[in-house]
Amino acid sequence: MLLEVRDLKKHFTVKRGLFDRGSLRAVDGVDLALAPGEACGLVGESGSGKSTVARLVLRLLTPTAGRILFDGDDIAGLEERELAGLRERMQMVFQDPHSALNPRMTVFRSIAEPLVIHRRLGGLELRNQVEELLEIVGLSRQFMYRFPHELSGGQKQRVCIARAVALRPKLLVLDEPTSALDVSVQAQILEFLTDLRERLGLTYLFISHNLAVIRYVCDRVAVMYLGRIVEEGDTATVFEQPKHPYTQALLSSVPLPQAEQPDDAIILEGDIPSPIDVPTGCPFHTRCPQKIGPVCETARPTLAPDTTGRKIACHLYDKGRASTPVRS
Amino acid sequence: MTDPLLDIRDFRLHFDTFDGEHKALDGVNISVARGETVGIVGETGCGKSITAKSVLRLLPSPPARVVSGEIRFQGRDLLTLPEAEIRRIRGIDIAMIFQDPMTYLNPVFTVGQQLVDVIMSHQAARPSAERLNRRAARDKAVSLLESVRIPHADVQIDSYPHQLSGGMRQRVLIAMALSGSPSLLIADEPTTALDVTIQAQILQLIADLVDELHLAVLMISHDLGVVAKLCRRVVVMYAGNVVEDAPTAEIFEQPKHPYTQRLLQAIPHLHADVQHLSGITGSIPNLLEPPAGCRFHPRCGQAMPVCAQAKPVFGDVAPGHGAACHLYGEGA
Repeated sequence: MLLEVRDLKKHFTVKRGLFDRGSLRAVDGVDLALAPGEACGLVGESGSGKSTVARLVLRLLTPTAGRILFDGDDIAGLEERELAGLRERMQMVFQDPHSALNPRMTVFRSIAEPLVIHRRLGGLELRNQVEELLEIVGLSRQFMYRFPHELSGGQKQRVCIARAVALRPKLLVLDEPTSALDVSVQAQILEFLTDLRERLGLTYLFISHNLAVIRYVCDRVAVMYLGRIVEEGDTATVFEQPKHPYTQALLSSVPLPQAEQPDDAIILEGDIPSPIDVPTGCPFHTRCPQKIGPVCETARPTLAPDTTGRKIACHLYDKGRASTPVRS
Repeated sequence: MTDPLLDIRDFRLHFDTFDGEHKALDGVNISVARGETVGIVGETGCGKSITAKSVLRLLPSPPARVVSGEIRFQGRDLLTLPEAEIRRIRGIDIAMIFQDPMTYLNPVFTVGQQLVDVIMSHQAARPSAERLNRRAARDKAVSLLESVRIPHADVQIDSYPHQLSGGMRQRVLIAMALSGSPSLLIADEPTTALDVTIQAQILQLIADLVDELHLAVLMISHDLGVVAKLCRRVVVMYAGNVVEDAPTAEIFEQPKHPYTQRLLQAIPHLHADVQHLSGITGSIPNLLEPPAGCRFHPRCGQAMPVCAQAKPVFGDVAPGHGAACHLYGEGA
């Protein structure tokens, strides 16, 4: 495994009153493993903790508890100083390419910066490498000395990707990389990302709220709700036969761009609870249309694989880990 | 056929900027019948929001300048109405909801106070015998909040906007929009800021209201799924032009305009393993100097010499299905 996350937790302290401190459980016990070359999607609604997981994996945040094994090393407890070497091996692409680029740096300087810092390159060698990177992301050489404001959204995102792959990292964390783009541009970037993964042998942790985008890019998907993974498995299997009631509702909520609209949509009641007051037991029990009883309110379901290897955290599937719901 | 409720005809709007004339809308034709749900889709800069805002004359002028055309609502041209008259239409006959509900609510007043203010402001337009006092307006506010399925409306009415979730705030804005009993609701990306399970709730609510109140809806969205779910007819816009206008099923099953076809091919699908997505090469034209002829021709895979010269005329390609493309012109 290239990346293995075990029982990862991140709790933030929040003020609720003058002396009252609450704990916001952004990530509350996440297990995840990524094989080299894999594209794993992380989906969920706002407050589900998907972006926090990404930032923890990159060690932009320090976990409250848990282990992060990357490439054989436990990076969960590394000090700031020790992290520099890590950055070479993992990089990130953000949602809004405009704010991710320094407006006063040319495309050349933005892409060259990681090479200057980590490889101490300069002169012709640096220029050649930047040129090669531009070619990889499909931008012509004429963009080299342009500034971000002279580029379109899609071109800016390509520059961000070129910068992220400059050091040939093993892991690329992409946090909603196409959410700020129009669909015709999104299609170009998604196709390019799929191609890039193959060409450079990258591993993706791909975060998105857009389920159709995940379906296109990822081999495997993990669905998060209130800081926990509720279902994880092969993307096609999870999307065609979702088992967790939340995954079922989430998929059924997506309006489909087609003439025929399914009439059996599951519409959940109420809102996502606040991660400051996470419901006891299963965090989804307050909205779950298939709640079985008190067990859902008291016992936290564990994420365990069924007979096919798909993991589900739901009491419906407790007994003997059957692949069909068990009702007592 | 009866007169449409809203009829936008040959509407041209430019913005005067320091760099020149930004030709934002270039002859837009859209009509909405009573009780009909129409969606406008298109990418950034296609003019969909500008069209919607023009209906209520919400664009400041300057820089916006109407060049030609008319926007008829119940037979009256909204563009030439005096300001006092359009104020009697805004929020009463035509209501509008927007993308980000927090921006449109005042954070220092309760939703009840804001709702009552809106109801009271509508009273001036009514005969004096039917005018409500503030107490009656508050009762009406509670029943409006109930009609948008806000639980415990009588308690929630005293909440401040920050105490409500995004979905609840959008419900409050819908309640506000319904307070004048409009016959047309313009919804500009009403669910874009919401999570998908909440979006499903709001779309269901709008669909129910359309049935209950016989409301006509003009829905603006970049999400073809949202439009497919709610609208009976879809208008596709590109660079200030309507390129296609057809019943929803036909847009998805038999798109005629090359832009619509390419747009549909660019969307990843939830329930299918797509091998290749095809984006549209090139980028959206600069409307300071839009391409001559068909504004889509530089990016169109099927462009012909005529496309660079003459602007295609919008015409029927099938009954009830129109497109503006030379592929379907005379002699093609």
